[in-house]
Amino acid sequence: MKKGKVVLLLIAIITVVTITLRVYANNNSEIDDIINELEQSSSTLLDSNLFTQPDDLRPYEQPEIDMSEYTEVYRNTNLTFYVNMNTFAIRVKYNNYIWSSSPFQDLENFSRAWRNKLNSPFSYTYFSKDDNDVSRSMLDNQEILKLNMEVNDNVINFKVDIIDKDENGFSLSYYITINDHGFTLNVPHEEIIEYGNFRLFTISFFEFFGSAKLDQIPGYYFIPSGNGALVRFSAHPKVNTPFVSRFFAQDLYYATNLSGISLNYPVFGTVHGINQNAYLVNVTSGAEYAEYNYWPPKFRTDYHMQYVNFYLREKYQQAVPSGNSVTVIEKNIKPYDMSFDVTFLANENANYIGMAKTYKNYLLNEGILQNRWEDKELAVHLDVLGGDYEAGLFFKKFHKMTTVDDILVINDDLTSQGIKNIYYTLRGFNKGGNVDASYKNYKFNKKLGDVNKLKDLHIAFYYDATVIHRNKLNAPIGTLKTIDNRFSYEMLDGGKYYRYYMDIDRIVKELPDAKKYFNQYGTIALAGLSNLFYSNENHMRSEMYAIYHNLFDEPIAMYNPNVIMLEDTSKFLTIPFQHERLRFFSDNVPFLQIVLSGYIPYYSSYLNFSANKQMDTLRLIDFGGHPAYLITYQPSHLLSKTFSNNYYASYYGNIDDNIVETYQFVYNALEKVLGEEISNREVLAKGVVRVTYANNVQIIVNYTDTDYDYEGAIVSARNYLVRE
Amino acid sequence: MMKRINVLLVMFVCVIMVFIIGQPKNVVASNTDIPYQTYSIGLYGELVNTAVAYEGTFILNAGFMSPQDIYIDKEDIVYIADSGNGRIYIYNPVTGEERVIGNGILQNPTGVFVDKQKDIYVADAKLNKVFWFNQDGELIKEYNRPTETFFGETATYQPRKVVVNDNKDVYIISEGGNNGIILLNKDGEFLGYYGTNKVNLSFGLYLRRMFMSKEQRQSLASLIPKPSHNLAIDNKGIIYTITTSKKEEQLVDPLKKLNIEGNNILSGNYIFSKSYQDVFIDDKGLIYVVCDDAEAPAIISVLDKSGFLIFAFGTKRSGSLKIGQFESPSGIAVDSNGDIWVLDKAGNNVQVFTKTEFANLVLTAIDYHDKSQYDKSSVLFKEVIKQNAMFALAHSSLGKAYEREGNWEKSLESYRIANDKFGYSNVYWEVRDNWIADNLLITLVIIGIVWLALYFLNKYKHSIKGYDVIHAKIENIKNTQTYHEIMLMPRVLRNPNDVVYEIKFRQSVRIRTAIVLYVIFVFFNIITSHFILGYLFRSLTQEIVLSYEIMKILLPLLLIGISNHLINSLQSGEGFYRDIFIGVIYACAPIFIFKLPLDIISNVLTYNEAFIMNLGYLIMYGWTGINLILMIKEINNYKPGQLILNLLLTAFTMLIIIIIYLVLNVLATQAWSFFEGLFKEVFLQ
Repeated sequence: MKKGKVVLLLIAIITVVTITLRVYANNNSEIDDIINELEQSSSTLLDSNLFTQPDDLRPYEQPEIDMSEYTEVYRNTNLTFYVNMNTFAIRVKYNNYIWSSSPFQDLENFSRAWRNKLNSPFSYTYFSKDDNDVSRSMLDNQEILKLNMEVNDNVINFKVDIIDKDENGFSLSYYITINDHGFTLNVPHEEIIEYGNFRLFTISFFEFFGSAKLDQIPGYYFIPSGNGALVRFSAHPKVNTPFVSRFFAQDLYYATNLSGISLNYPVFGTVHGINQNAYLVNVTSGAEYAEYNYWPPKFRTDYHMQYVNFYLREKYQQAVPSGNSVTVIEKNIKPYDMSFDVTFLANENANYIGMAKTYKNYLLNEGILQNRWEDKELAVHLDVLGGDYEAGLFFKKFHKMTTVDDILVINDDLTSQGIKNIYYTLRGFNKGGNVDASYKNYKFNKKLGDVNKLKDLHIAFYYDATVIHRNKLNAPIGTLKTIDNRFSYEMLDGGKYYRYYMDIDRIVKELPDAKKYFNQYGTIALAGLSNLFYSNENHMRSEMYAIYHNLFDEPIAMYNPNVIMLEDTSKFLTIPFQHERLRFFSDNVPFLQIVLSGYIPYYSSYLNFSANKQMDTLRLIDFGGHPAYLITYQPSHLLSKTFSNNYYASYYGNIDDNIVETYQFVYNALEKVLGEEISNREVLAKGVVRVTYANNVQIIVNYTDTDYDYEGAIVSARNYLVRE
Repeated sequence: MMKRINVLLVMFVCVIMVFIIGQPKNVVASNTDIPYQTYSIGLYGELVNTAVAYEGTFILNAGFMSPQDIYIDKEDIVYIADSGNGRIYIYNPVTGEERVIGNGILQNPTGVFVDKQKDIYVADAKLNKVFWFNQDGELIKEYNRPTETFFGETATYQPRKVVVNDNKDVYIISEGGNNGIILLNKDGEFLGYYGTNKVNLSFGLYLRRMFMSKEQRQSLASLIPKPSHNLAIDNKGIIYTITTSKKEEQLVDPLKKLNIEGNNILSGNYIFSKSYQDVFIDDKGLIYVVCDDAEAPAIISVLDKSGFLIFAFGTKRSGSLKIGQFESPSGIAVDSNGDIWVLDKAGNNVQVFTKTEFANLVLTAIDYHDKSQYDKSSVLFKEVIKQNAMFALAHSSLGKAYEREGNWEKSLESYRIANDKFGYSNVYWEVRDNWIADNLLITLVIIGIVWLALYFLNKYKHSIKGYDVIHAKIENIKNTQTYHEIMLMPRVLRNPNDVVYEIKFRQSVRIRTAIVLYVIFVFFNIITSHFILGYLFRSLTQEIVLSYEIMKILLPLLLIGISNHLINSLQSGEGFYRDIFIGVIYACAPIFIFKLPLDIISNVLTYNEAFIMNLGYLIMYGWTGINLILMIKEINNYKPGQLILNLLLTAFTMLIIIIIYLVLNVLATQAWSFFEGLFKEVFLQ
């Protein structure tokens, strides 16, 4: 018993120590102090391409340009259009600035083939006899092709003809229609004719238009990667090879994986002299077969170049029984018209904001963008995980993560703390849990309670019709078959799970039933289809637009939709707050947010998974979005053996305070600008941004670690200031 | 320490797979725009996704040609051995100023190091020399092949990497330098070899070595130590080496932290790659490594002082222009901000990564923990857990912090979540000790009361109403055959020969009873091992597959029975298969009887008393084995000589059966894929 006494004494001492420590540890300010003590090394972050950098506003004077070889063919109050009658290169004068499809200087430094390429109005690739693709420019092939031009008022018709129709070659026409602030280029597909064994592969127009030598022009390219990215012209390129990416990503029907980059909006732009001269290119027809190209300087030329490349055929690898594969080339060219608008911008519009506004106007005119704001109130998007399965020794074990009653508890908790407007999306509430949320497995799991109890809440059901998960390599019925006759799937978690992509015809059959079922309790929040745009053997990608749209009769919430689905979007969920992190990007800009602002409410990515909470909350204010969280009522570590094991920070008990704090922080900032359009955004200094809304409210966001003096008022470090 | 090794074992299996297929599975949207995954160690020792720890912020692309090494000095100046251009490229990230040294002297610099006096040391692979430059690029000294005889006449001197300590002693890694690191003093005099790798062949490889050709032996199973590949030095002068090896080669420590004798002192050596390319140690002693092979392609990992993995990120994709995707990373260095600079020799660039708020939190917490400021570290670790509930290191460190506070309950909970069994065991010891101290008296009293109660119950049982009825029923049951069969079990313990007599001559056990016993045995084992056995002694396997568990228990028993019977019929033993079949399960009587109590007791044991469990299990299984042998002997009526022969042949037969199974399996798979291919060709083409 002596030992017992010693132990008791120890316990007593330890208890005293514990209590002291507890008191010490429970002191909230103490905790904050410790967390605030963390040294922040944000300066490297602020210098990086994850933020918008200050603009180089040096006025750019264009050197004297020799126009002797160019003939004026059309003029209106804003612009003058010139054509070089020998090469058919074009020049456009707008706002006293000359844009050219060929370089002004040092042409003599290039080889003949390159000179031809740079001067040519278009370049193309075709397949040789042995199925290799060969690249040519128009001027390379003058012995086979001839080009004529015809001007009818504001429409210029360029006609490419084959000289000898018995030769291998092609003919086509392209029309340039000039309007007040730019022009449209259009290539009707019925006028593309191939002769002999000629097989066109791709074609691109005016590759050199808007190019810039090294860092000679202060300006940038805009690329619609994620929410928007800039490539400022610099003499030190960050990459040594060109960047190419299909709009709306690769078609799953032709590709075997989705690892590529997805440009969800078929636009890009050029600025020569910030706030001086710019233009936006909008691919209005054929974007589904088009590819964006950026060439860094020091790769072949000293110029930054960007252009759009249209595919007339696809090629793919077909496996043959010997284990090898052969290249197969599509027999016929795709029957679609290629068309893009070029809109010139001047002065205060000559920047990415002006581009966003131009694109916004286009979307409004087309009826794609419509006002979907209901009440102009800050909302929180809570994506709630119901549960998921874990493989057990005897039975599959279902982890109930959030029940219907739990949602009601959460709702009471948050509303009592002042959050009025909560938008719930429910996932993993179907039988089979999150892992089995396939296109036809959507019926509500009664184990989680009575969903009718949620009728008073604003709820939608996460629904991704495009995938089925299996834990075996065994394609379910309805899996998409790719053109080379393989099932379309991905391996996940090192082979623990397989993700099968569904054939669109299956989805079309099932989706109305799913919609009907969900509409009894709420609506659908659509994932998958919202930004996966793919075809199958029955339909071409160009036919898919109509098929996709016919699925929806009213706008619904969508996860990160592309422009194709924007018309059917009522809420834009998990909007990207970053570009896709290509090395040559220099800035991150809220192009998409400016386009959407005032029309479609958008919600952030799940902030509880953010690695830079402070920065991302500030970015939310900068970009003007609603906060979003993915939550479970039970601790996340219960999910560690399930498919949902990467929801590592979903436990409501850990993040409830953060949700309320962030809501208040964002509410105070955005209160007056909800549902308003963003009219301007300027970087005042490194890490300090001023966003102006249509109602003249300004928000100054300070990302830096030091206070910022804004017109006599202090914007404290990592904070914001609202000015009316 | 042990715990980490424990975790490592589990880890080795799962890690590699995850890295190959790094596709994001569920769209946790804030991470979708990041082209690589970030991992940490999860609760079962596996790799788990975590919030992004490092974000790509900057690219250095200055016309490099196959650059081989990068170093960052204390003032954050970056030095790159631009091998293909034969120069050292120097970059100041603050001013953006760049300059070049060594032009005209260097031909193929593969290693660069800068000491505290800012002198620059370069190893050149073409000239096979080490050069010492001052900061302005003036050559001070060349280090040629040592002339001392004890350097060894056949020893190679092909310097590839170099580091220098505060005394200006030069450590050189030579290509093919089996003897270890070449250590020279400032003047170039050879001081000796250091950190030689040990030769350590696995048993399997040793066996195979006997059948190898000379070339194979040299390349796969050489008895000469593997040369190290790269090295680093920390600010205390401790040397770290990395050694690459192929999958099937001799076992070497891919990453070593060397003590003064040149032995490895890393305890939680978290190895998931045998192909580390470069290593760097920061001021706090954190270890940064980058690896590059097919299994762990282009992964950057951050390890703590003892080699325990904190973060891993990065991926390999050739031709990619995305940040965090590499072609062939060859070097790593860290600046005073904690930014990681990764050199890519095929991509010809440097990608720089900055800590996120989350990583800063984790690393600061670890720093406090290392400095024993547990109150501060526990606050931060709690915050870490809020941001990633599956971060094992945080749970386990928190458990330790609670343990220091004496908050046993919370400590146990944290250790349990982290599956940190050694931590759990220590705290449980405390808890149990407290319980005993508090409850010893009352327990004794209760035992006394129960004993008394039973005593009186027994004494006055006949006066209890209904006792006789129950007694009669029990007597009835006692007369059934099943009861008799079951009661043979305990008799095995006392007198196995008796039981054999019952089985063999009296045939008193029915086949169906034996089958039922087999089934019970299987499920009894599964249930006790996975549900009753104490947490500390239970296996931590992440997924338990029922069919596999059944096979694991049933197959050996059946295999022994069948093999033995086959041999018996050759050796003209007296036993029938029936007897053997029944005998085998009866031989397992010690397991039937002792496993459950042992497993129940294990719930109140800690690792301090692990010997009780080990001893118990040893006796239980040993006894079963002896029973089995006795059973075989008696059933067949063997003499001792015959018995030994029989046992050896039985073992041999078992081996043959397994081999036949494997061969058949391979053939069947082949046949299946042949017919499948045939079918596809006929019907699908």
